[in-house]
Amino acid sequence: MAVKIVIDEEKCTGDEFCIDGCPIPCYEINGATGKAMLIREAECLGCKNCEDVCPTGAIAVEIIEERK
Amino acid sequence: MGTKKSLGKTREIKTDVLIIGSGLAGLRAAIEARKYGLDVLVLDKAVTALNNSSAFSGGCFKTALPGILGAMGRYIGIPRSPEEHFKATVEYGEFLNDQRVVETMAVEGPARVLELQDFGVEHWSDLNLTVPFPHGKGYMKPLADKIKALGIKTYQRAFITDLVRKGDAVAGAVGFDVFRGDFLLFSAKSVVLATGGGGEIYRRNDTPYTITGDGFAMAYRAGLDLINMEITMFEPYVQAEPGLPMMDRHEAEVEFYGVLKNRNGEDFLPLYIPLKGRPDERFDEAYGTWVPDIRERISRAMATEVSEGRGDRGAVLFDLSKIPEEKWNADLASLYVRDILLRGFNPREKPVHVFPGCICFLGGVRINPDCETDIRGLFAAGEVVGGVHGAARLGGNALTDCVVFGARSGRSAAQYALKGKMLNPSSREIRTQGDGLRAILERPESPEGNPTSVKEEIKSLMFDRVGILRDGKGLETALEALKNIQKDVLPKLFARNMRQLKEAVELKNMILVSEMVTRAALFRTESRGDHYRKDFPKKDNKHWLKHVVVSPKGERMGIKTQPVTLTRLYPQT
Repeated sequence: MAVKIVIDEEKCTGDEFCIDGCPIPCYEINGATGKAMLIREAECLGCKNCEDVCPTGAIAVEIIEERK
Repeated sequence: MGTKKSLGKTREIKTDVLIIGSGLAGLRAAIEARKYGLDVLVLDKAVTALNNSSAFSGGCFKTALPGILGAMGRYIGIPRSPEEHFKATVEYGEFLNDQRVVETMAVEGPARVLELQDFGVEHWSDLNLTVPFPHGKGYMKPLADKIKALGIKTYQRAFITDLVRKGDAVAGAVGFDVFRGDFLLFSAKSVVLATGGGGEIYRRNDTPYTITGDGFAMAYRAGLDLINMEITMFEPYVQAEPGLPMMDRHEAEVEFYGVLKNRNGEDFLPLYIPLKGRPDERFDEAYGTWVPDIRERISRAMATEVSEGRGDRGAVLFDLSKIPEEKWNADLASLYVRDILLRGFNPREKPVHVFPGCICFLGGVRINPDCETDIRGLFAAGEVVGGVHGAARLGGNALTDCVVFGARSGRSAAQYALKGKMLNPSSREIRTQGDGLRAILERPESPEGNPTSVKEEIKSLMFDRVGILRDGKGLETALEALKNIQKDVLPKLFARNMRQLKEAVELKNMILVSEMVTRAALFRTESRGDHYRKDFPKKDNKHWLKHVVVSPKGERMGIKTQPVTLTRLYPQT
């Protein structure tokens, strides 16, 4: 996996900006916790919109280089 | 926190100029309108600037700036003069363009692209090499900062469901706040529609999920004519590998050396597109042109291979195994293909599945060079507009279109607002809108009324029957299926919360747009540009050098033709 997404549940306020910022969207709000969760991570395009739009800085996207 | 479950209080918001959509055209319109000292408000149903086709584009502007846009020119080809740009656009559009509009784009393009620097856009001369994916963020992020600095207001997650008219003029728009649930009523002296295209009506696309054709649908419901809705464009090399993103990066150096093969391992492209060089050379050397300028021909070749039984799992194979290491490191786009699109997949061991996906619509709202529509005070710009690119679009013209007509629509809207006055939308119309939304929220759940599953059905239907290869029988089947969905499913459409309500309204819009595309495709009994009919495979200038126009006729969808505006270029045959 060359895209690593980490959600900091402490910081997440469940305001859903990740859902509105992601082009896929890879995110959903977990009904039980009220926090963001990844549902389609495999389709992530690595655009980092979620990181850019999250008002509390709860999301970190890391792109890891691959060697072929 | 969390999405609200019911429609909340009504919020009334007034502004001089209302701009619906915050892609490149919308933001550029806002900057121009603000120059007149007016209150300008930019809405987006998702987030400002970042979740639209402009942000996810290849990042290249085709315009006559020879000698300046070096790196971009290598990729898309730079016209030596506005005249050459005008001519190339009309010829490639197979004369279905409004030539007044094309001439405006060709002449004003260089100034509009150069001035992006004044708005804080750096690396503008070679965006595709120095801005990592998505390249469009290289200009959308600085533009978002710029509109903030200029005092332009924004409202994110404001989903507009309809325009509001008063007589023959626009009065504003209605919708709701997707997160807070408020019912929103915007009153404005003028409105710019910059909502983008409708790639989401197709199962395969490389557009963000926000691109659901809302602007086409609300323009139609407001009574406007839409032209050439049958012209939908398909990008060929979109990944079709299970578990990997459905996206392409055709500007990647590495992809120019890949070879398309069918299930028998045959390099089939030379059977469809004459070779100018050797098949193992870089694409432009092998075929004498870059990929973005012959996308529909490659897409059609791929679709033909699959429809004639030489595909593999509904796709074709893209062989990247012989490409040397240095090509993978040649540019950021190639690294992106390696590290993101092909993550965990080794293309040296096996070919990757690819198959076309919808990249944009070339039809839409009819405008004149001042971006006026047939409703007073309503202007339109960007992909929601039809007639700029004709039947096929040259690579790089989409973004030039957005900056040229974005600026023009903003200027026209401001000038109109300076003379115009605020019209009060009728309270009855507003109440009807609110009641319609509440009805969807209050409806009982049913398996057939679930917006998510209906959406998948529509997308497959459209891709399989009204996609790259079309014929009368398939189009009629699709139209019948769409009618049944409208009759049986729409009245049962339900939503449990505001986010689902947005999905339900988007689905209604997608169904309406699908009907427009299907009817127009059935009506145009010829092949031209991106519209290909297997039963009418030839271009027919005698009968079809015309726009196909759809517009509401009572409860039905009316369809007719309209002459194309030819100012000084005419087809040879």
